[in-house]
Amino acid sequence: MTASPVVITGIGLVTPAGVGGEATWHGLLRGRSTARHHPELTGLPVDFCCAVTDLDASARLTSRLARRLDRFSQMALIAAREAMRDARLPPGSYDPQRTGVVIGTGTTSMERYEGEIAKLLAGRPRSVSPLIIPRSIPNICAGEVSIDLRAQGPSLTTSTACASGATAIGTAMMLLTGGACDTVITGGAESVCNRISSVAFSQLGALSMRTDAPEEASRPFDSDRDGFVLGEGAAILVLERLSHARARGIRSYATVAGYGASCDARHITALSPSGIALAMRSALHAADLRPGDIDHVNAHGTSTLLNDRTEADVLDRLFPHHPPITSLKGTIGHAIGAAGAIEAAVTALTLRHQMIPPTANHHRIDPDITVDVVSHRPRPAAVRAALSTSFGFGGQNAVLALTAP
Amino acid sequence: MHALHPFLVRTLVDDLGVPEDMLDAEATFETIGLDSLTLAELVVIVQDRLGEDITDLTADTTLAQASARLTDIGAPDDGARP
Repeated sequence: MTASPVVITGIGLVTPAGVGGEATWHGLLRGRSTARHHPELTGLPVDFCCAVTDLDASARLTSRLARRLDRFSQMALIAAREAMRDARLPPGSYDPQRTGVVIGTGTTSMERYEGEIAKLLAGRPRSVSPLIIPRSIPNICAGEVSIDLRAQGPSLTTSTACASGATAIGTAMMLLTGGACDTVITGGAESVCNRISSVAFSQLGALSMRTDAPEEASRPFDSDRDGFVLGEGAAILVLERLSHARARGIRSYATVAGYGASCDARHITALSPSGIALAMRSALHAADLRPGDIDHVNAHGTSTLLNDRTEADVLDRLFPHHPPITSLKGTIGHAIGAAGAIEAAVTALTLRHQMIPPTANHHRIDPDITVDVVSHRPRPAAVRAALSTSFGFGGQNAVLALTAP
Repeated sequence: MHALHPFLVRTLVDDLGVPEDMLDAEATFETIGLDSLTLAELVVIVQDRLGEDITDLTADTTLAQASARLTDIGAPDDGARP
């Protein structure tokens, strides 16, 4: 084991708020929802989502590479290349054998299966693409990033549903503290703006049905919330030990001071207060922080009736000093397996800029909720330590404690 | 040039993203950078559009040989991409 803390030295973001870290940050500061009717979803009970509209993968990756990759891998690669540039790690400047990749994803490339299964059902088995498996399996995203960056260290995928991206970052941190790697490229990627995902989540009763006003549909912690809005995207962070970053002379965004994971071990979809509290307390313990040290929480805040209330109750109980909280899902929807990574990346940006992005559509707080939700406009704040919380189906929870470097 | 050469070129460019300026008639699938997986993908796409099985395209086949073979087999099913 090594005592040197793990720091974030590079960030790459692809979100509905913008392609690139700068674009996403400024989009989030505006605090306006990106949810819109989506042509792909026409005719479905829920026909809107928060999509990345300016991905332009062919221009960013070359058209040959873009066509070989499914959408979640395209987004991961674009974010990974940005993160490596941001961390000043051009090809050839790092030891490939000491460089790992850990990327979370919650579903798989569902849109690929839609198209290929349709061929099978139409009686055309020999028309099914030979690449359906290698393009769409959940681990291919990490595999493609490893190939693209020639990273030969451990390459793996975490899948804890909506916590996948946060679980990936926690796992990456352990690879670094355990000494297995010098650099880990980590985060999450998800593409769920497709018909089968929209139908599946709406049949579950999880999605907002506000089809007449999509831009008002995602409203975390607001009294009129009625469900979450599907999003998509990728966030990739470069993690390394502080000693390694210092030796390279690179400034870090934040320290990944603690990672807490737990399982509710009760129900596949409903949050358990004790389970999510355990993940938060574990992250604090690992970071050697007390609850009163937490200046901000970037909440899971999906905008569903029950989950927001449960999370707010736990935050109220664990952090009676009421640190300001925000949920990015008001602006960019719920990017499932990428969400935890996007939120951790933005929490790191909050630590750097000392600014908390607002929760879009938060107009009137649920009277049963007593937390301090940042709304309407960004709030300047002295943030030395913050939590980013993520809770997944299966009761699988991941909480990251980030501190100023 | 064989009748289905433009069809082959469009498929390589539009479906597989191969840059059009690489597609010299005497180039082989290997020299235009198609690995065995991508060649298998090409075969399935072309079979699907022509409605006929294709068994004899390999890494060493040139584009001219491939278009001759496709032209022997027939016009694309949808007729939209002759």
